[in-house]
Amino acid sequence: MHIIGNVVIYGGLIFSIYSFFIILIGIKLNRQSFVDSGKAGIVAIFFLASLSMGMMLFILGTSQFQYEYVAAYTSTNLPLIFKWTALWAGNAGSLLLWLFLLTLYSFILVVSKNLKKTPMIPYISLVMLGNIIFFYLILAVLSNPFTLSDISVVEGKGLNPMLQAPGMILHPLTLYLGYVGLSVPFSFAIAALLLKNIDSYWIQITRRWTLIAWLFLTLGNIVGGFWAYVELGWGGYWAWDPVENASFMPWLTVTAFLHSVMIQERKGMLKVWNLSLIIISYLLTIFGTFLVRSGILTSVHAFANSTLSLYFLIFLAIAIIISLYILMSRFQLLKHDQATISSFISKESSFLINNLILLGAAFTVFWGTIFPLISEAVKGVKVTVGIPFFESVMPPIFLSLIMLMGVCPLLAWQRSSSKKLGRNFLLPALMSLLIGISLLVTGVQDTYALVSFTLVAFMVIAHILEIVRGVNARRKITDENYVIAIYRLFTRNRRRYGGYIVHIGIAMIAIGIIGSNNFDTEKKITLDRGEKTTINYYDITYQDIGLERKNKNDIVYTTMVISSNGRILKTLKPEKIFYQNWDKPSSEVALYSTWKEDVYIVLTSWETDGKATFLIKINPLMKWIWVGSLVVVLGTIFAIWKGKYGNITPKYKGVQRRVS
Amino acid sequence: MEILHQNIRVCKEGYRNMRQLFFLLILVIYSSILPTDALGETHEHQKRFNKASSQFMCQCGCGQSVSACSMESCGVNDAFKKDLTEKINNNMSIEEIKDYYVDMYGESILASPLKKGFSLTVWLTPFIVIISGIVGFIIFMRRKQNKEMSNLPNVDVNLIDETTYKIINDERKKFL
Repeated sequence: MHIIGNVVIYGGLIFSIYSFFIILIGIKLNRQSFVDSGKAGIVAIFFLASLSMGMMLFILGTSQFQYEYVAAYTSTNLPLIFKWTALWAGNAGSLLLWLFLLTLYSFILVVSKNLKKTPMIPYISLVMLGNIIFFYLILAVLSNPFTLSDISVVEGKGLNPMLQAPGMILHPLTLYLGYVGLSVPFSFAIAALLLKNIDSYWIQITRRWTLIAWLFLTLGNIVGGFWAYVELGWGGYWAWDPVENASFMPWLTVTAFLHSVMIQERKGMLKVWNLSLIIISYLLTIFGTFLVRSGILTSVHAFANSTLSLYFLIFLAIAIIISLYILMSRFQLLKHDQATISSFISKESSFLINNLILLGAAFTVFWGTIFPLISEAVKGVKVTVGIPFFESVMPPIFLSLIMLMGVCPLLAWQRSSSKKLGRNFLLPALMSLLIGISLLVTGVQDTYALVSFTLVAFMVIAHILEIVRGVNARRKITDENYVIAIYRLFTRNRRRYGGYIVHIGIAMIAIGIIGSNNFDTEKKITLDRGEKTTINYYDITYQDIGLERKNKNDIVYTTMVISSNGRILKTLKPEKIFYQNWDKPSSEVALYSTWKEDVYIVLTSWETDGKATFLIKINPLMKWIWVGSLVVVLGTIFAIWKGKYGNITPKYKGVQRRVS
Repeated sequence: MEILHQNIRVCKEGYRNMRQLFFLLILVIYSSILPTDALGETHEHQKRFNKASSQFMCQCGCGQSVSACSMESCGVNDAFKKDLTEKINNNMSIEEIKDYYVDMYGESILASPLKKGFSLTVWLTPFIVIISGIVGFIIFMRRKQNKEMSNLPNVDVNLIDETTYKIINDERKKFL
């Protein structure tokens, strides 16, 4: 198995180098047979990568501890699902996953019927193969998952108990699907530049790819936040950790890209801008994986003992230089053909400002993430740029974005008059002000929170009014009832109304973040058995402490009863788990969640006389974050879904070549 | 827990000397409330402690703040929290506490950089970049509009009367 594993890795490397050069020669000499050979090579590479994955899952699942990787991340008593998820617990396995996804996407592109005979395919394949070669080189030379152990290992070290959670199944996988998914629009963009295509074909054909990649990035970030919230026991969901930032930055730039491409498709504007955005987004995914594996910044997510940083840095530098060179060499061609924004008060202009703010946010996160290195280089002191920085700087940026999300639907394409804008603006502005005032009257005193809630309300109301206008316009013509009118309005304009659903989801997330950041309360208290404590209007009674054994692990649990106004709401059991295979215990958080707030209890310590110490937090509006995230996901799926209407596969009308 | 067992044994042996007993009683109370309850129970103290502890990085290498450190039995964090509690109980302000620790450990102890010196750039740069981008866009749009206005054909005012000229000018402004 070890020999087969290595043969498959080296074989994949050889095939990918062969495919790269044969396609390159085929393009230069206009030989279709060479290009077809390269495409067949890609199919073979996908087969080999699948074989590697299959073998890896097999040796992990069967606990073959003679392999270093299996011994490092699994143990005999680990549940099968976590033996498999250990595939992405370490460096080598996660690189194999990245490689597999690259080969999968390359395979899909070369066999796709929609792209048959498209002259872009050889160029797209070259870009994808460039990435595949790099990852194969790393796996073959530096981080081989099939490396045998030098010593005989009877039992593995096991998986970190914090990783033995449902989040481990979804979080890394969805993030990787998102990261690697961006390689497709990136490849199309580079191919379009190489071919000197200045139309929007590459955007139209990759729209769904980009949306799906964005969806997975969104899911990955949300699942990660939820996992941190329920598992880590500090009561938060986002720590602005460098690796978290690394997954947030491409999300921001791709969000900007998804908006600005609409302008290129409709008006032929912002071509250079869109190309730059997708290049930056992809480079940020490489930067993110560099951060995780380099250890240059302290992070709870970083892989231990990685020596890959220099190679990723070189790869990143090469990717930056090549991408910039290709873009700059086509700059005049792109600029020459471009239309321009004619009015400041227009949808195009608001989209561009939206892009500027999103990019500003991405820059802020990037700047805060790398500043410790800059500080160390300049002053010799490695400062930390953590939560207090981001929680001061990011809110005004995001609030201005939310305000813009409310204004933009009110603007027309090309040009809006100030008078019309004012008329459209008045009702949502007044209604949101009313909401702000009622919040103030009902006790929300914090100015920042008040302004934030008012802006979110403005955004939501603006969207609802847009939908109402659309439904009314439709009913005037078709005389349908409201339900059918809404249904048909949405399903005939999936992209637009899917986007509106996503915006509503973002508003819900914003409400949750504002509530949980500004109005949370916390208490650390030691209680005796039967003793009660009060936090806000909850009475929390510590009933008993006990010990049980589950799956060879010792669990200390406490029984807590939450009541309010004499009514019992729930019984919770915060726990501390002591593992057989791990020297550090972990906390199982107990959670009582409602739309209004979460009661969050962590057992921190206890004594022999039965006294126990708890961290109790009240986190307002937390549920809005998770449900809002679900709405974002559903809105995206709605936008991506093919449906019955508007499914036109864009036809390639660009530069023709003799090979395809 | 082990600390507690030891203290109780010592207590039993120390009955002969009242001064020793008194001192040991204080020690028992102190060790039984720490690290389990380093924070005191008053709401204001709790709030100040939470705010203060989120300003400092845990030195155990976990990469988290003192308030968020989830490393079990993080002795480093417990000792820091104990020291922090003392300072809060002595009514030191958060800024004073920050200055104290920065003097002792350097700026790397903080969870975010100081707002002075070179570190001020981390706070200002994002806003400078965003505002510059938006202002640059506005200037670009204004220049474009002026260019388009100057590119429009000039009206020969001798050929038309004043009223017509005014109408044309108004329409021209509306277009731009």
